[in-house]
Amino acid sequence: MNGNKIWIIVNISLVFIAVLLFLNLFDITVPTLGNALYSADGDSPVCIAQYKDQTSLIQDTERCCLQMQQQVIQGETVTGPIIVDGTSFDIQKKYYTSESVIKYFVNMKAYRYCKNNGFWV
Amino acid sequence: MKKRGVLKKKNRLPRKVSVYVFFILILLNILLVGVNVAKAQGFFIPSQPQPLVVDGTIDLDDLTLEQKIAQMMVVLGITYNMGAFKKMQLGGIHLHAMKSEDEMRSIITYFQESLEIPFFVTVDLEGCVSPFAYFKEFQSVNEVTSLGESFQKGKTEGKYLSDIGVNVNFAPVVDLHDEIWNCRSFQGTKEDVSELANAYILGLQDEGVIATAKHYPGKTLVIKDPHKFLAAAEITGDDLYPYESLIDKNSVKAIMVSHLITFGEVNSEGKPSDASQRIISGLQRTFDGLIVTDEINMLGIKNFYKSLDEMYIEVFNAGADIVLNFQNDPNEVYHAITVIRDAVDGGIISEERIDASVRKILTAKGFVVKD
Repeated sequence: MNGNKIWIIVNISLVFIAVLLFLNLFDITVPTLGNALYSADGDSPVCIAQYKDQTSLIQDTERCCLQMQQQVIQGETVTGPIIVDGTSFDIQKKYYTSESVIKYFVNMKAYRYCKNNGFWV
Repeated sequence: MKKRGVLKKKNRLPRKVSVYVFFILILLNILLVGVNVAKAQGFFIPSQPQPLVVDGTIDLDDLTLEQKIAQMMVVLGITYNMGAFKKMQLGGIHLHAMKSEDEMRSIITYFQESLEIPFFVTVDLEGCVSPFAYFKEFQSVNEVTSLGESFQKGKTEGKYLSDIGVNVNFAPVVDLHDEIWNCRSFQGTKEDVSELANAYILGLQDEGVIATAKHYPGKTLVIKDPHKFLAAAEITGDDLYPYESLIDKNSVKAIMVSHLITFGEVNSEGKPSDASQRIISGLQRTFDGLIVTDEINMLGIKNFYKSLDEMYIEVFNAGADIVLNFQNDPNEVYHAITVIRDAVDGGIISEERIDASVRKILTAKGFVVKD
C-alpha cells in the first residue's frame, strides 16, 4: 500500500507539472514564488544611476531594467545606502560595465520587478 | 491462503497501472519540456524566404509583407534569439555591453552570416553610455569643448564602430540639458549644442556610420518619468533648434523620437511623441532621413495603451521608419509583426506607408530599391 501511495503522489505531481507546461505553451502563467516575494516586499522599486560622483533616481523602472540587462557585470551584491538629492536609499545590487561609465544600483524590489517582467538581470 | 493470493493480485494491478502511468507521464513531460524550449527559441516562427538581390538591387514586390514589417524593427542582439531573429529577417540588432572586442565581432559576424539583407547593427555610444566600456574608454560628450574635438571624437568613434561592424550609432544626444544622467548632453547654448553635434555627426558619418540625433523633440533628460506613466513637457523653440539646425545643414541621417507627451511648439495631442502622427508627419515635412522610435517596451508607453497590440498599431501607424523593440521573447516580436500585418490587411495601416519606410531602410543599407 505504501508503495502504491508513493506512485500515486508522484503521478499526481507529474500531472501537475504537465498542466503547467501545457499552460506555458499558451503563455498562461501562474503566480510564482518570485511574484509572491515581490508582492510581499513592501518597498518601492529603487533604481539609481551613478556617473562619477553624480547620482540620479530613475523613475521608469523598466527603462532601468533594460539598462541593467545590457551591462557586463550583473547583480553584484552591494551594501550601504546611496544618497540622491539628500535622500538615502537602501540598495542591494549593482549593474555596470566599467567604473568610468554610468552604473546602476537597485534594491531587491526593483530587481524582482525586472525579473518578473522578463528582463534577463 | 486463496484470499491472501487474491489480495496480493489486487495490489499488484494498481501498482502496475501506476508504473505505466508514471512512464507515460514522464514521456509526456519530456515532450512538453521539449516543445516549450523549442517555442522559447522561436522554433515555431516561420522562416521568411531569402529575398532576391541582383547587383545590389531589391524589388520591393519581392518582399513579403511580414518581411517588410520585420525590416522596420530593431531588436536586442541576444545570441539566444539569433536563430529566430534571422528567420524573421528583422531590420537590425542592438548590441549590449560585452567583455571583449572579439566577442562583439564574433556576435556581429554570426548574426550577419547568410543574410541577403544585413541587419543594421546599432549601439548607444555616447561616452558615459557605452557598450565597449569594459575594454575601451571613450570621451563623454559633456567633456567636449570645441568643434575640432567633437569632429575628431566622431571620426575616431566612427572608424572604430565601422571596423567592428556597427553601422548605426544612436548618438548624439542633442537635448539641451541633462539633469538626469548628468553626462549625456553637450555643454553650452543651443547654438553650441547644435554646432558640436553637427561636428560629431560629420566625423561619425564620414566613416560610414549613421548618426542619430536624439531625443526629438527634446526635454527628455530634464523631465523625470513618473513611475509607471509617461511624462509631459512643453517644447520651446530652443528645444527644437538643434534639430532644425541639423536638418538645415542636411547632415544627420537619423532622428530618434522620444515617448514624451509634448505640447507647446510641437503638440503630440496627448500621445507619446513617437506614436503621434502629428509629430512624425511634422518632422517628415523637413526631414527625409530615418525616423526611429524610442524603445517600446518601456512601462510608461505600455501603460498608456489598453494592450500591447493597440500600442504596436499606434506606433507603426504614426509613421516612424524604425521601431526599437527590445523584447526578449522572439514569439512576442513575431506576434507584433503579425499584428501589423493584420492591420495592413484590414486597412488600418496602409501598405504604402510601410513601403515608404522600407524603401528608406534598404537605401540606407546600401541597396537600390525597385518598386
